[in-house]
Amino acid sequence: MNNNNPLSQTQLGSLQLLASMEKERANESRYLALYTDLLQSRLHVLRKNDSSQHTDANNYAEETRILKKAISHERKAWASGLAIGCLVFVSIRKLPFWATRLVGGKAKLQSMYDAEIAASKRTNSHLQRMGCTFFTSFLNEYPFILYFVT
Amino acid sequence: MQSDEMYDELARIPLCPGKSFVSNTMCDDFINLTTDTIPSAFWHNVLDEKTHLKNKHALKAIYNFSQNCMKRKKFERFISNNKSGDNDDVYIPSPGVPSHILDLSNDEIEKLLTSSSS
Repeated sequence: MNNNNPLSQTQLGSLQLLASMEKERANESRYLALYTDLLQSRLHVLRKNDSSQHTDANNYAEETRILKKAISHERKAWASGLAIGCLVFVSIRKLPFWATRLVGGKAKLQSMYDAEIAASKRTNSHLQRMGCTFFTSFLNEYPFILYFVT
Repeated sequence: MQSDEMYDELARIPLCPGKSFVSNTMCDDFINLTTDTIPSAFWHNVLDEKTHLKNKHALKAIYNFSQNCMKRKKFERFISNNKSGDNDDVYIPSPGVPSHILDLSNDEIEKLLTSSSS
C-alpha cells in the first residue's frame, strides 16, 4: 500500500475507525457501569441538596421544573406499561371465547363453557387454573420482572 | 424501564437558565469520563444510526448531557469573565445556554448576551 496516496490513507483511517468501533462495541455494559457507579456515588449529595429546598430556590426553578417533568415521563411510562399489561392479560383470557363465538356461534361457545365446567370438576383443576393464570401473568408482566431482576 | 423522554429531559438540564445543582455536582465527572476515559470510537457507535447497542438511548442521553455540560461550562466561564475560583455560583440568564455555543466566538457570545438582556 502506498502511504503517499491520500485516498488510501483516508481509506486506511476509516478502516481503523471501523475496527476500533467494532472493538469498543463489546465494552458497552462496562462503560455504562462507569456512569451508574458515578451516579450512585453522587446520589447522596444530590438527595441532601434538593434544589427546591434551597434558600434561593427561585434560581433553581427551571432545573426543578425539568426534573419534575422527567419524573412525570417516568411515571407515565410505568402506568402505560402496566395498563398495556392488564389489557393483554384480559385479552388473553377473553379472546378465545370471543373468537369462538365469532367463528362457531353461540352453540360452539356454549359447548366450550360446558367443557370448562366439566374440566373444573376434575380433582387437579385448581392447579391447572393457577398454572394458566401464573403463565399469562408472567407473559404480560415480564418487562417489569426483568426490570426488578436486572 | 426508563422512558426515552425522561432521558432527553435529563440531558437538557445543563442548558437550563438560572443555577443548576445537578450540573455543579455531576458535570466535571461526566465530562472527564466522556472525553478522557471512554474512547471516541465508542461514541461513534452511539451516534451512528446503523449501529445496534442494547442501551443506545441511555448512552446517547449521557453523551448529550456531557456535551451540554461543556456548553454550560463555556457559558459560565464567559459570564464570570474568567474570574478566579470555581464557577458554581454563576447565574445563567434566560433563555439558558445557547445549544450552539461551542461553535461561537467570544464576540458572538457577547452579542448574544447583550441581545438577550435588552
